[in-house]
Amino acid sequence: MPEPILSVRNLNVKFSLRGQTLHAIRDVSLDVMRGESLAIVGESGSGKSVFVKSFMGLNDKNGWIDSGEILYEGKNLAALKSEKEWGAIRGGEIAMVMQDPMTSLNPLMTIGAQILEAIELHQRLHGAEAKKAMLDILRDVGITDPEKRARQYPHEFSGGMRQRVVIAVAVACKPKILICDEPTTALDVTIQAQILKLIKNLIAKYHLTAIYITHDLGVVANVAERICVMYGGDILEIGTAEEVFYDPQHPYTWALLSSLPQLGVKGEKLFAIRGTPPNLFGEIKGDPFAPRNPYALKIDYEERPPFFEVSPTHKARTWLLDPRAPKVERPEIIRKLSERRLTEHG
Amino acid sequence: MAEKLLEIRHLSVRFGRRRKPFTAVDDVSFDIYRGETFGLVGESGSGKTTIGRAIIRVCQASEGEILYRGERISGKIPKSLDRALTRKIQMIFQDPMASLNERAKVSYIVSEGIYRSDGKRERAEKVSQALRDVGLLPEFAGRFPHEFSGGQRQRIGIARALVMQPEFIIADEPISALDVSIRAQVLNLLSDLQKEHALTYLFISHDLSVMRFICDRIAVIHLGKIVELADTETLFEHPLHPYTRALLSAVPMPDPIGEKNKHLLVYDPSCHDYTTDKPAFVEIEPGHFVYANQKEQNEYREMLS
Repeated sequence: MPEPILSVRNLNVKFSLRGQTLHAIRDVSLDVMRGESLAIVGESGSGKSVFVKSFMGLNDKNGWIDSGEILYEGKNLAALKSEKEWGAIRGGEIAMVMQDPMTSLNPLMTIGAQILEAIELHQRLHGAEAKKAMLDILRDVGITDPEKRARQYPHEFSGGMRQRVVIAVAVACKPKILICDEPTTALDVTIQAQILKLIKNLIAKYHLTAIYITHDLGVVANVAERICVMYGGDILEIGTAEEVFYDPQHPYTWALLSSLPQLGVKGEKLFAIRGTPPNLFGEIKGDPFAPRNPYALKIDYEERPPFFEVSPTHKARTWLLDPRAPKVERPEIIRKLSERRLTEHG
Repeated sequence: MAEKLLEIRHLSVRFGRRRKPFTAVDDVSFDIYRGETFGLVGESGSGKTTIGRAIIRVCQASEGEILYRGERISGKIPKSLDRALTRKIQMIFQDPMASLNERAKVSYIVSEGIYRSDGKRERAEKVSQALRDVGLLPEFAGRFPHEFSGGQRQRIGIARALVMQPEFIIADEPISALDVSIRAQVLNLLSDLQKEHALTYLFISHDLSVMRFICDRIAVIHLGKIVELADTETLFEHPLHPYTRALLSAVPMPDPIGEKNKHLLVYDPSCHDYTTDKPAFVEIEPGHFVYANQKEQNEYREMLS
């Protein structure tokens, strides 16, 4: 049985914005297992980035952890206050790869110097030893001729190559958890596939635990072992990749999958979710997705659904799974997904 | 056979002066028929945006010509034709956060193109009609862009193009900056508008999964050259050029088991030997063009039969 490396317990994160309080993360609990690859999927405004940034104390100054615990190696990260305390966590324990490789490197430093900085600080290596480690990491992330490339500046690299360097900087810190925040959205499709493959290889090589953040369910099928769907500051469904893709339970997951153009039929309308995401300034009663959910029951507007267990690894917050709920027919696209699994993969 | 709306003949676009010339688009030819959605797929730096910009005359064509309804629109053209073209050909941009004037109200942003030609009342009418067409409320005309979400902003960008009553719209990555669920809304809107207003689209993107859904025909462009052009279904069923096959293999699918066993193809340009046997852009089967030399053409014909 794998043990959790990071456990979040009833986390609430709030922001103060123009005199109002925004409740970004609403009572969320999650266990991240040692060595797994977990993907957090949600639209913009779902709270996925805020949730993960709270593991590293990277939220903006107007935000705070209102209640709840983030337990990492026996330490409660939610109680950390000073930048100095966070400094012991950031990079060395939990490292992050940001979305946009164009802006996350220092344009005035050579690539080699930026990686060396991380190695000297976190691995306590110096001089020739540090340099050797730097060249090894550049080779690991697939940069050819590292001696020459290390002396170059970020503007001499293409987008895909820069993202490789950003990954190299993160891995050079020797973290235990690697967070990838939309690591490929700024990249072309072919490069995207290569970068995802690279991250996957590095995770295996350095025994990392990976947390991916993305809005595109299509991208994570390849890399994630477990998928967690977030909406309105809450986790609505969590399960293994197979369970979430072939047997999704929450209507929001159905909607996300149905709106993928990969599954659309040409000439027909693509499924689009009605309405707009919830306003996080107010109180959300019941299921946050209820106002946009064609399958919503009366109780969805009144009481927050508990997690119903579908299998030991698969849970969803929807009253549809309550034994008293009426049986609903899933959308056709979703039924086809589970059928395809049987026909194509046995 | 449908009427040709736009013909591109041996178009080349070069940047830079004599000392350091750079060829962004290299001898490209294709036609766009009235009423169709034509897709241009390629990586960044492949020249796909430059082709779009050459059509709306932002970039000068260095060689070759562009014909719109049989009339030449590249190079030196009379001012009256230039005016007419800016009405008939409109563009939708990639990033709705950057492409709207933050300090102007929606009414001005949408009506900017008809400011000189239409009176105040006419403009207001056209703006509210355009806003309704894209699924926004006419009351939004008095608001500023920052009051809208990404999807709504993209709709404003589309309304700005529609108000000119164009025939041809160039959409340069119109949905890549949007969330998955908003993407679906904008794609549906674009195809509805196409039916209602009899529009022709040139759709530029790097994402083949979106292209398959919306385009009738697709051209794959690599380093300024079109390497393959075919009907969408043909291209997906029988991709010939190794670059097209690499692109197709990289499309992510929402299928974890399939994805984990997927074989990713990588395109290596050195697999072509063009030293003696020179390549050309040829029609290998009706409507299916590929850039290949004699030896490769023979191989491709074998693959098709």
